[in-house]
Amino acid sequence: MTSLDHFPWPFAPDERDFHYTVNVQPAGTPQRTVLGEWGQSIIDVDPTYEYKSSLRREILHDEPDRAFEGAGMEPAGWEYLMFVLTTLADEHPDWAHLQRNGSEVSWRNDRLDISAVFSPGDRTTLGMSPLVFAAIQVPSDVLLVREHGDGHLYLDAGVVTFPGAWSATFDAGMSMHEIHGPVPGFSSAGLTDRLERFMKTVTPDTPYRRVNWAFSGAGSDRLDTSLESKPEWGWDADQLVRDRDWDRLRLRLELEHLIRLPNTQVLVFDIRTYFASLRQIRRIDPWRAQLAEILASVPEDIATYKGFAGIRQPLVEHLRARVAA
Amino acid sequence: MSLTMSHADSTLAWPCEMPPLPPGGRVYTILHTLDTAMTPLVERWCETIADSAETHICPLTDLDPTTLRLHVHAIVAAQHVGWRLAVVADELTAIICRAEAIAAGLLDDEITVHATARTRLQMYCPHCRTLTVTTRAPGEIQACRGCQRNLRIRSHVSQTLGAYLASDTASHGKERSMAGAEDAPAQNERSMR
Repeated sequence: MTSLDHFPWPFAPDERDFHYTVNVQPAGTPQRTVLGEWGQSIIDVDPTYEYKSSLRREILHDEPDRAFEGAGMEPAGWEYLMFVLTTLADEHPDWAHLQRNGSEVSWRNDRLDISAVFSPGDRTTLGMSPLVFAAIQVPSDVLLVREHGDGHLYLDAGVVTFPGAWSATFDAGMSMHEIHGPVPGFSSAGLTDRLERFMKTVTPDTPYRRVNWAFSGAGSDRLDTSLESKPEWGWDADQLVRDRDWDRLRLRLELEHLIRLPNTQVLVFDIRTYFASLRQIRRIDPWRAQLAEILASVPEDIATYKGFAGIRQPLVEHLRARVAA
Repeated sequence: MSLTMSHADSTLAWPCEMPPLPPGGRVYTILHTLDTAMTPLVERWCETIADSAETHICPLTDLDPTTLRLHVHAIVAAQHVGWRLAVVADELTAIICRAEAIAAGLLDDEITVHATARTRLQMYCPHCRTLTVTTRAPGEIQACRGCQRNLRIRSHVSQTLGAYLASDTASHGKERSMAGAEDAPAQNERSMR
């Protein structure tokens, strides 16, 4: 069973109603939950680290366009790679080893059995995209966002293998406004403008984070819920209601970090996915009761977007019923 | 750069008003798919062009998206500094002209695009990465010409691809028994593919 020690429960203890906000806070502060703690590190390495890296490499092998890099983005890829390697080496000196010899860098990741000696900035010495080399060693999807001459932010590079029902091959290169077209109430409420204004204020010394939640469309712990692979995982919520098979349902959390790279000024948008099954949540009484109340208060269009409008009422009733001791 | 549309019924929410031409041009090319009854739209633009500037009005015939992209690319490649492009056409033609002009190196503020109507659109299949032209509208279902899957067209547009996103309409119900699913190792995710 998935451990919930690091599960970033997305609601404050006294929260009872749904509010659609950008709800950001400075990154790096540990947050206690009833089961443990989350948020101390931007790169959350847990026992699934090896599995996630191996799955990502397989997906990238089969579908190389899940990684994309617009013109002029390679310097940001290098800067992000050095950020990742430095962070891993600082936080996990027992298995992540980084050495600098002049312009040369030696890297060894014992847990993933990855070694490399390379000169940052010289792709031929690494033999692959620095962004991809970094991405296969973090447990999260990574997007690189850059400001263009028109003053808007664009998704100019990324490695996306574990997305929540969106298509990176379609959204690659889009502006924030284009990307958020399908979110109900998002653009029209001016939220994209606010989000973009906020993102521009992020400085290298103050990364931010937020937690976004939805229900997984896969009815399992499947990480690759991309639109690309939807024919493999798309499921039928009505069937779940008919079968009352609630334990298939997964609360899917995205812990998102926003980091400004100091040299290239590119923004890193890092998305780490966590799951908790309904069976697990029902056993944790404060979470069970709180989730029931929040689900009941979500506006209909947002419930549709988050994938539970069709099952909301029986779902809330199921959560409101206390688990027999 | 402006993107506008003559009617409000569009997921792009293009405004109804014709946008002004990009300013400061020495040479203007206006591409259009209008019949003669609609040419006052082009005339309105022409009235705003300085006498000293050169103007070319070029009708576009009914081209498929690939040929249209090649055509626009060739037009942009032959131009010099001071050239401005304006397009008034059906939505698919307009959005493809804009996408290709940007890809060919034109800047946003050197282009004006105005869509008159949506008669057809291009949809992107994320499952096989194929583009299909259809007269169906967002919300409707169209078979992908690449993988033959029935796809629902979404209200999400890429101005780079000149296409609407679409995705598989099928759902799979129970993929596998849930008995013990939580205890099963997640390692089988890729093998299910």
